[in-house]
Amino acid sequence: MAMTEASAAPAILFEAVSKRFDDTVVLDNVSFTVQRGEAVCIMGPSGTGKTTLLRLVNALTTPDSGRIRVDRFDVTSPILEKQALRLHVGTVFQRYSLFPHKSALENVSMGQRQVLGRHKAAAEEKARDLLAKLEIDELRDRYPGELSAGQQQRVALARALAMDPQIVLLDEVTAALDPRMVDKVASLLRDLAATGMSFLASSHDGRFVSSLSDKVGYLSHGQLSDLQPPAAEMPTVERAPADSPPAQL
Amino acid sequence: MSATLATLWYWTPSLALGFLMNIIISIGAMVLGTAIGMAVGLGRISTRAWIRQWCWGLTQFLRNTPSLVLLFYLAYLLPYEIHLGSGYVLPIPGWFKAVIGLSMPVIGFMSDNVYGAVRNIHTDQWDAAEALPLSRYQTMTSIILPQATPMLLPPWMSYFAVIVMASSTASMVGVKEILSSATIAMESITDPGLVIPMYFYVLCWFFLFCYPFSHITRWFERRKWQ
Repeated sequence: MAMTEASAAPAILFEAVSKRFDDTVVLDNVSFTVQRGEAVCIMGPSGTGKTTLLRLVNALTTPDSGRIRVDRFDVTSPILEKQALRLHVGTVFQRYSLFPHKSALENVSMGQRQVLGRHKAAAEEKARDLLAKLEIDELRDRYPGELSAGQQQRVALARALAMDPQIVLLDEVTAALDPRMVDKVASLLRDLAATGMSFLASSHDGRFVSSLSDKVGYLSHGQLSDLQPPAAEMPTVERAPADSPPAQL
Repeated sequence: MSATLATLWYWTPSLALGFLMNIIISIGAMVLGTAIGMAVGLGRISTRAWIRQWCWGLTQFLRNTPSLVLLFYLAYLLPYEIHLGSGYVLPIPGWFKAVIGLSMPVIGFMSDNVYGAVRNIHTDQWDAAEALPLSRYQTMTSIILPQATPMLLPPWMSYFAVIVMASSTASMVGVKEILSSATIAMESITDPGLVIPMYFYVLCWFFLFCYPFSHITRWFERRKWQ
């Protein structure tokens, strides 16, 4: 079957991307691609630049050099339409970043209403559906301050997915979840990947990486290893910096 | 003593009317100053550099000039009346000039507080809003200001009490408020022994009105906002 140029283009393309903060080189000449419908996980100890890498994708941070393409958008272009880009890219932040003055339901539905223009009933129905899949629909009227870390993390995931993005960035999305919920989240994301949604995730969690990823890379000292299919059982990466990646990578 | 109290009681309606003028001037200054001050404060985080600089400069000027001098300046700057077409004349009363004059420090105060409250919202909230992606207007109105506003209320309540106390300076520009009413009363009484009781009585009016605000302010600070 002939593939159009648009459908053959990767969802995310990094070409020789570098980023430093003051004297610290966070990313050094990083290159990789995420194909459409593919799930790629980046592993590595804390502080090695995984969050920065994700923030570069949706232009919350700008690289010092290199080229980044997300779908049809040149993210490194000075005339980038950031809002248009972010309509295609959902983000789940490491610290959840829920809006504390809005309930779980409002957190998940407000983007649909204000950005996508959905009616309240439709937005809340979608929100409730996602919250139910993540087993927290009964907590929809609670505020973030009344939720546990794991519950907040699931609300944050629902908020990103509710916008029907084509690409989702996941920053330690299972850090506060128990193994059963990790499997459930991975299963939900695999189902979405089958519909063409692409994922770029950072994670220490070997279980999650094994369950979701098509490819895994290891980020250390600013350099990303070649992306490889994950082993059947990935180790959980120690949070302290390490000199070399685990053997499975 | 009974004669002193009787005299003070006799002049109480006049003083009450004067104090009402203090309250009106204070409320007018707070309403006008709050509206403009919030706009100036939000202007300090504008994406346009010239707006940020202009708003910063205005705030610095208003925060570092004495309100009494501003009041005098505006009292002479603003005309007594404006001549409109067809022979119609719009008077500019003294109390209105006092409202304008006292709104100036309120503008500076609100600008600083709005700017500080907005800056106090964690950058994670800005990132999450941008990532949704909410527009800047939606981010400010739906996310940032609703979180910043509860932080503004306690200092705003305290500053209202400050403006009420400062409203007595309106007497310097000819407004008949409580201090000038007390002075008129003393000119009528011509008893120097009543000077101290009369002005102490005026002090009590201000104290009894302003002191409850400190309790209300503490209540706001203790209250949990969702």
